[in-house]
Amino acid sequence: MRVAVLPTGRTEWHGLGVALDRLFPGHHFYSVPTKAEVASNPESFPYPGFTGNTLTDASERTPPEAALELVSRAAQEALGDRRRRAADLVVVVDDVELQNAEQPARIVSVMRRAVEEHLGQIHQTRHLDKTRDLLCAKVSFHLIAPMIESWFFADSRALERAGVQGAEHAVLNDKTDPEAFKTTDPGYLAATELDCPALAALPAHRKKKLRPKWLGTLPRGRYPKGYLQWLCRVPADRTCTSYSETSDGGAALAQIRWESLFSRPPDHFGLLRALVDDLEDGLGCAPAMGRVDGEVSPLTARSLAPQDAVLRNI
Amino acid sequence: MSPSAFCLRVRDFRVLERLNWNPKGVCVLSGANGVGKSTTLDAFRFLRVLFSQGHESALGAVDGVAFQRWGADPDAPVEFSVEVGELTWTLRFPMSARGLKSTYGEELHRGGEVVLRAAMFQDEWLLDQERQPLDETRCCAKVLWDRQSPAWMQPLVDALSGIRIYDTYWLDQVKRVEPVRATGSLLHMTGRNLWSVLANWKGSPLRYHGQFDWVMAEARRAFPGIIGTIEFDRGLPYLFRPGASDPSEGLLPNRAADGMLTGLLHLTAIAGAKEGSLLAFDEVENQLHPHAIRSIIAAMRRQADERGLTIVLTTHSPVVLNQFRDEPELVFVLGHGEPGLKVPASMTDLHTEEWIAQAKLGSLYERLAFGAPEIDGQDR
Repeated sequence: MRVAVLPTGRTEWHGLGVALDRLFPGHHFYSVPTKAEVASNPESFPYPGFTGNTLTDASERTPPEAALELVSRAAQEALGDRRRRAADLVVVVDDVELQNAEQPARIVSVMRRAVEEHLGQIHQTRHLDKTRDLLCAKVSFHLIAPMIESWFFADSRALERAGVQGAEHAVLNDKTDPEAFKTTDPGYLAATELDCPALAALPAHRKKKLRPKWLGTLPRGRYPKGYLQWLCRVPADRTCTSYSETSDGGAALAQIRWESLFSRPPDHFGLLRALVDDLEDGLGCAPAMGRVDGEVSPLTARSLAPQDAVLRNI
Repeated sequence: MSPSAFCLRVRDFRVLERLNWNPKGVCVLSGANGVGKSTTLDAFRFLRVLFSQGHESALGAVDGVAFQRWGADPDAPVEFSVEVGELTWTLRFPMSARGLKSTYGEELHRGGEVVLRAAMFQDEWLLDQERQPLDETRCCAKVLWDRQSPAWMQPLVDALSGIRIYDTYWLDQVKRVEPVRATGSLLHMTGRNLWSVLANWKGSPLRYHGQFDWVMAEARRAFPGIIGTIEFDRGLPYLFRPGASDPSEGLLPNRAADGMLTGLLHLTAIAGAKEGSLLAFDEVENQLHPHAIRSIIAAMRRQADERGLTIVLTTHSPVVLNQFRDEPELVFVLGHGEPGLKVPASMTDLHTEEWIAQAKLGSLYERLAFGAPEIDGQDR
């Protein structure tokens, strides 16, 4: 089967399809948008997510344009066209992000609303019925909490590929679910801009774009991307890190050891387990490593989808 | 004349290997740079001038160098054909790099019967089997029309003479502060006589069916708060904002916004078009705010419906394309390279309607789903 992966992060665009190819051999996962779209507009890919700001009641009433764009593209991949073969499944993947870490249910609610809004924009009944059916049959929405780098902290080899030295010491212990990422590394938590002298020497207007994530305002201890940048820090570099989401992150994700992730306690990685559970159902086969047990997140589990689901799983 | 009866066919003209197009209503011609959008408009322009003024003027009107498609068989003629109702007018030009090799060929068919025929490289032509000497300037169809004006030929003559191509307005002339005489009735294709036309229409509202008032009403919609009316004083146009009453508040054209002038030119072109005629606007969005684009396209649609106009818009603008979400069959794409499809192909021939219905056309165009340049990785 052909599965379109429609992510909102560059790391996932580069690596998630390859990683899933290994998890479900014999099936083909490809990233959307196409390489040509990316070549034409390299600064504006992939599709923007809608979780980068804290979602509110208003977001549920009027879903963000980014959510509508995701639904629109997913529907087209599911439908296919005279010039494009339809995907058998479409998986839309967005990060929970720290801004919405306390309200993943609201993200799902906004996405459901976006699907309804999209359907409301289709005027012809026959197109509407077909689109509604296809969205329910082929398209899923999954979350990564809080962001894709959290997965790497369950696999020392992924951390190594991302550029971390002494990666085995950075892997989270079994008490911490990577989807609820938290580090107590005192050096990281206490770091300041002075730990990045090349950056500190720059004028203020240039720092904003270059500074590592951990120097921002988000809660540092819960920020896996920030921690990864810190672990890969290069004080003499203006970005203060060697970690690149596109190359290092993409390669780390493409080669991630699924068995490391699924050997975590059964109550870890509930959102990831829901993704795999959904794919297993859609593809009609178990992952290469055998069935993945454990607790799936009720938010995005195919098997726990609501009666009035608008997509396969929400 | 029903506008849907107009069909243009072209072969080996500049970048166009083959074109077979029946434009209708308000429609869009889209595609990547260099695929032949402007060339298509040149083909319309060429045929209009050829019929009215002869081939030398026509070649001059489209800058007749590099007339034949690069890579085409050098012995094959560049061919144009216009079909209007039961009439088909065909022209064949034997071209070399230096220009026209000899006399061109011409045929006029009526309901499958040959009315006139001139072979390439010949000095004579046949009209109802009688030999006629070629005219120095006029094409054979024009000679026939000038001699006999047969009623059955009227639809073809109307179609050709009604073609108006607006591709480059001479805004520097429009902005020039100099008195004009109120004599124009039809906007010149450069727009240079805008004030003359508007002054004439304003001065004779009954004769010109309220065209000035229509232009002003639509301009007020497209440019709210910017333009209320235009007054003419000793031949000079003064543009007034809505509600302005003091004569000193009138702006001369040199102080008017370029986008507003462009909008006025578009609207004046539409208002002055003859019933059933074909107008084309190259890159219609230039200088216009999205609100003005939407407003002017809505005005074009109303006029096209009321007066049977065919309005062709070439564009790269997602805003323009988004106005066709409910009419994707009126978006035509050049350069798609699909075997078995007409060129240009309608969006609904290229893609299924249900697929198109999922997104705004502007978004699809922006993400290279149609009318895109050839980039590696485009196809999966």
